[in-house]
Amino acid sequence: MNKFLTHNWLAHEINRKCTLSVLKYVKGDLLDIGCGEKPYFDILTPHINEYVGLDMPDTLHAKDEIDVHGTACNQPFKDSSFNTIVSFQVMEHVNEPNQMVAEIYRVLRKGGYAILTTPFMWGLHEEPRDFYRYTKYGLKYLFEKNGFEIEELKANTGYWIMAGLRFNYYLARFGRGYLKYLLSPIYYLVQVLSLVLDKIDKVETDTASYLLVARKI
Amino acid sequence: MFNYLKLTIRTCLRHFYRLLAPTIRRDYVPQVRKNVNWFLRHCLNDLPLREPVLDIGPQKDGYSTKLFSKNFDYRTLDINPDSNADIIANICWMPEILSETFNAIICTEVLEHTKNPFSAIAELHRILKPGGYLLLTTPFNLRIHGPSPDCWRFTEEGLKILLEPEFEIIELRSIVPLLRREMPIHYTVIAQKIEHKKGKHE
Repeated sequence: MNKFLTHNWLAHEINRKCTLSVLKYVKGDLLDIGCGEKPYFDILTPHINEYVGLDMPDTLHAKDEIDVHGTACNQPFKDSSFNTIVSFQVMEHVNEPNQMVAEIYRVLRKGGYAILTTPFMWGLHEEPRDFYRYTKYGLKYLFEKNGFEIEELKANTGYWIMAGLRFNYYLARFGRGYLKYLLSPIYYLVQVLSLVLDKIDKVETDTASYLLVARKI
Repeated sequence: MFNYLKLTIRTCLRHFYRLLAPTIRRDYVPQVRKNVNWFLRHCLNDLPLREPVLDIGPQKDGYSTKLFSKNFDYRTLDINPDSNADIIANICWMPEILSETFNAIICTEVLEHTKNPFSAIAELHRILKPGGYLLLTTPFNLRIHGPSPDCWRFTEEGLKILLEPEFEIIELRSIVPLLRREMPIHYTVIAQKIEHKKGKHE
């Protein structure tokens, strides 16, 4: 219950739902590019043999969970060594996206799936390592150019959830100390309202993030 | 009964949404357009622009087409064969244009529509004369828009990666909303192609 007092539970919930919706593609050995603290480890482990987390040694997130040090553009693995590659909200922090996709193609086994989420209408974060935003056309081009077949490409939210979350992030700046508890009903209301409005009319041109599932042919 | 109620509430909300949506959903397009015009005027006044100038993807009767006088060597390029542009080409790959042709290139609100901005910038670098200017504008916090597929958004760091080290960034400005510094709306860049000075051994 404590979870619903925060300003961004909806964002976490959407990301978790995304992960749950792609479980049918997950199997065998799994590589998590930019794993951080492996937030979806518990969801993914029942479906796979091995979970390998790759991250940069100088990451801003927790470093305890990292299995292998490396970057997305230069992955220290042999060709065709994984069945599934996941990467959640990482692609915007990669300076050479084309090379990242080419590396994913190299490391993935034939018939394996690459599962990525990446934000679109979202503010700058973790600067200065924040480089690009991709629309669905950009993602489609990048993956098809590198030999993938797109299985699924969908907008996770519409305009209203994006705007509601941005509003909450804005409010959260003032929510320090005991003000946090005063603001939490507003946080909750804004998120529920944006969820309802998004159900009625999903404006996909202003989506907060995309989910992409691509298959190596 | 329950279904009927649900339908009624849904219809009410839909009408409410249609009434209020345009007022709540802020549209930044006019602001972006205004900033592009300001940027072009600013470049024309403050930069020593020389002929010939290439304008990529100008809008019909757009601001940039009226800026230059009639005898100024100003050419336009567009990907759409129906447009009245002087050159019809795709900026990601345009072998029909010779290297080092132009002294300045105006590329406003185009780069986010290219599929591969890296090769587009490389091509623009090729057709620009050494010391020539690239005048670039691109939105950041703007919804997906037409006409051709809208593929990319660039942050400040992304633009630096795209342009450097072949170009020197002279000016990089952004419009930032007063209260939300993390969501810039629009970037304007003046970049200059670096002149390679001849070494002593040459």
